[in-house]
Amino acid sequence: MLRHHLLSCSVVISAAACTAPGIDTGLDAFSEGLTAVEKPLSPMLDQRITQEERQTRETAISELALVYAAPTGCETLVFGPAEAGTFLDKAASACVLEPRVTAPVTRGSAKYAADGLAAMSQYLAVVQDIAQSDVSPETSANFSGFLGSLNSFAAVANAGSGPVISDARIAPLSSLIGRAVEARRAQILRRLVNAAHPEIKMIIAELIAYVDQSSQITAQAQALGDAYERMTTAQDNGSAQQYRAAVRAYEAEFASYRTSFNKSDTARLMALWKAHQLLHAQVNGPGDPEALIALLEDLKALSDA
Amino acid sequence: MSKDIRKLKTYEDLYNLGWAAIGKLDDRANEETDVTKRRALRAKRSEIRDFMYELRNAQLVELTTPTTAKPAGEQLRDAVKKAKREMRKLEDLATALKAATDLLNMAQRLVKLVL
Repeated sequence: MLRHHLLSCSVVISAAACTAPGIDTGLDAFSEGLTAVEKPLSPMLDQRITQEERQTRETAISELALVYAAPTGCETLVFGPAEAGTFLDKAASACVLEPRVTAPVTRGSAKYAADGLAAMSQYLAVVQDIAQSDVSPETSANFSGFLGSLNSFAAVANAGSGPVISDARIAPLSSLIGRAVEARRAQILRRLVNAAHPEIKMIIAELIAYVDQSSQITAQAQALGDAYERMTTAQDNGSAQQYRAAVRAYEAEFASYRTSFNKSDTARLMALWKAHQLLHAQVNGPGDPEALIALLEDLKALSDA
Repeated sequence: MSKDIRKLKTYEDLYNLGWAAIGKLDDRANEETDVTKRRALRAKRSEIRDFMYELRNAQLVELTTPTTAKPAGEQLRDAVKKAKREMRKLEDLATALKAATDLLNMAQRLVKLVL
């Protein structure tokens, strides 16, 4: 069956694109069934997971175990824009209250039940993606267009010279011109994004510094880190009661910092920087305009032969 | 590239080194069961963290102090102007190419009529 399907794809590659077998009815039924299960069950499970987590944390506090990881992600967020892939860039991508002790996922617990439910949700999303994907038809269409151009040029190259300009020679030329202009446009865009990258970084760094004068978000990040250090000092001092109070204080400081940070201009500026990093990576990524131009030059050489 | 951007890079390198060291000390302290050793590791972590903030505060002052270097905003505007010029040239080229194609098409029609 699969072999037959693949075969039909390869035979008709220049015509309509191949599609996945029709499974829409079954998928819809499964999706509706899952929604019906999730709707009442999810809130109840969330509530019970919170209870399980609280219980586990309380036990850990009385045993003087470290309950939260350091807020490095939150603190590094105020250290300005960094280049993609560096420690600072990776660390600054998330500001979450990261627990060091979590309720175990054992059968019979709410966490275990929620895990099963989440796995089904993820599975459904992937199956739907595969079933509804239009990547394959697009790829086929692009590929067949490319093959068509190549064939046309090959035909012209083998036709020999004559007084009449054939249709086959003109039609691909106009599409070639379109593609050459597109490639050049992409190249200009890439040059601009690359030239702008360090300047954008500098402007964002300066703007963050400027808004920090009034928001004092750096001082707040430092206060969060200080609260964390007070918590670990209390843990090392050995009194479960003091440690518990320090954990509560840290949790409160964390909630306050996250609210301030999310509302701050610094957060929006850092988000803007992340967006530019993505754009920068995209214009320099695979399918770059220079490779396309080289391909177009090859095609031109073929047509001139 | 302006002098300021190189300075930005220096700060960034120092932040990367410092926060990576803090992360390593965290990991090491979290594994340590001996409280005295753990305290020492955390004290070192705290020292480096304080230095990171000292550095960052110095940079914040620097980034809000007037400079003689060409502003980044101006440099960005130059890059945009250049790209606009290139786009205009490309539009001219596209128009010329379109005209050439039209001529070719017309020639073909003429040839068909003549033959």
